[in-house]
Amino acid sequence: MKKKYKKVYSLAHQAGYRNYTVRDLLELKSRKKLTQINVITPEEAAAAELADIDLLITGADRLKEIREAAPNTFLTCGIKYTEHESKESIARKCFELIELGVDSIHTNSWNINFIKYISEFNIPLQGHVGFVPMKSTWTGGVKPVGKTLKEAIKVYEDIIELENIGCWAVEVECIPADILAEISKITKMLTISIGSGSKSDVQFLFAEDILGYHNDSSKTPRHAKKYRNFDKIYQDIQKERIKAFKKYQTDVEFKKFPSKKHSVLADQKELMKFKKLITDWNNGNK
Amino acid sequence: MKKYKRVFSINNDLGYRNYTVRDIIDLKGKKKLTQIRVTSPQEAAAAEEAGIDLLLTGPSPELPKIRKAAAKTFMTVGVPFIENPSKREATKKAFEIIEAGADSLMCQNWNLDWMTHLSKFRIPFQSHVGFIPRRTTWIGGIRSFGKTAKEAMELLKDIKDIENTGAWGIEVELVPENILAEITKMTSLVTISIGSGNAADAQFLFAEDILGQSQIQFPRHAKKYANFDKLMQNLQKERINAFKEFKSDVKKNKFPTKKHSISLEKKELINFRKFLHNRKVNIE
Repeated sequence: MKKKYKKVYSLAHQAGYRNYTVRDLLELKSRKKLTQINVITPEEAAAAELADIDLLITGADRLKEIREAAPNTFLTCGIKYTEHESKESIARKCFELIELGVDSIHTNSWNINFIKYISEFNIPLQGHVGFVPMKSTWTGGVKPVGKTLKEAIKVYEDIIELENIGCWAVEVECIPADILAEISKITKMLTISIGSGSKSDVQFLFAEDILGYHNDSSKTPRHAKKYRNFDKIYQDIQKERIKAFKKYQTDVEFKKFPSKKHSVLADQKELMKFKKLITDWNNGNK
Repeated sequence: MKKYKRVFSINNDLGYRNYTVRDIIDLKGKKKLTQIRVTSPQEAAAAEEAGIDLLLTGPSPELPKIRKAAAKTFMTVGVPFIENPSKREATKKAFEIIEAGADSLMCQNWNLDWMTHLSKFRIPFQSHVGFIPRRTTWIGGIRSFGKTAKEAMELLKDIKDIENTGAWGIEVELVPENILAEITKMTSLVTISIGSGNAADAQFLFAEDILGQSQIQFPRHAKKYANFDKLMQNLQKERINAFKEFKSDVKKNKFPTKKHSISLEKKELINFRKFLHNRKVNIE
């Protein structure tokens, strides 16, 4: 049997173990269907690693904890374009994330010249095409992209542009399944489908959609599948918290807590001495 | 009696609170209060809902969310002295925390002189005596403090010093119950007991101890009211199982199905294939 993790050097030259290198992933194209999950907490990252999810993606906010929670899974991290006005600034951020142990960077909505620049450092990059939320004003809002020939060609050209730059993968969001099936056959990059059907190299979903809780969105998107109802579970847990705090409040009010076993006492002799010292001290202060 | 009163916060926001600092001082010797240290918005919201009187938290990035989650409960926020190594920096940090909505500050390990300075701004703050984790090297390690008359006197003097800086409250940790009973009568400060028996003006515990979710060994003086360690383990199992089911669905081609995908008119697909074919021919 193949070993689960291989010894690797990270992009920051740290020795460690990973499920895949970028090279492995490229070689698996069209041979093995992979999974990717977007995680936002260390708990989700740890659970994904234990569930043998192939790829993880996250934002920069809690990267350190998330890397620690899933140290052996190929991890991609996104960088918001609005926080970096220059190539140099975005490169600095990339280096910072690399030092924290990422295996790849997600180039969501970046200036194409910035993507080219970062690629010159041989940093593995994953792009994003189709319906891209931050660019969706150009495609007419929250709706599928690529249903007409003109739009499908644009998606194709976007993908080829990223491939020519040297990206290893591309997230393809909400385009017709048939179009992605055609493009997946042509491009050398791994195609990562979210809402774009099952003919991609990788299937991607958000942990919050799989778990069924809602942070920012009000409901599960049409293209996602809910495997649990964590909204309900979190509500039940909150009820447990409230119950525990109420019991504590009542215990204190009725003097049931703290009891002798939660407290320490001074010897009667020392207490008497202390009271005497207080009296002297009070007299001294008068 | 109404549960919340209309107040101005110390950063001049109009809102509602269970207590002002004046109310808390007036309740000394009249009503036993509770205080909980919270570290998440969920804990803060649960504490407010449970009618906990006072909250304590740190200056973490989550502070604005914690304040929002328990908008009406008197909230004290710690101002770390290590990162703010001068009177001026500590005051600046204090102002920043006040802007985040704190009703009071926790000046743990602060220089007395800084506290006196802070009180000149009329900013409410509490402090900490007895067993203070960072100062335990002075008392010989992790142990209760004040079991002898000599130590009890030291404690009383510490409390009087802090009273003189203008603090409103004092956390008293791991002090004999009968000693704190005497001291509580002698100080105008609201005494807040943790591991110091039940004769204080307020009782304090960490939310993680109440919930049974301690990061460290469970302290002897605390009481568990729930088993969140177990609950969180079960939750994590649910996460793992959900992710496993997703993976298995993808592997077996059960997800995504037609209903999760976007269809395309046959005509458009044929056109697209033609486009790709022509392009290939052109390249060759």
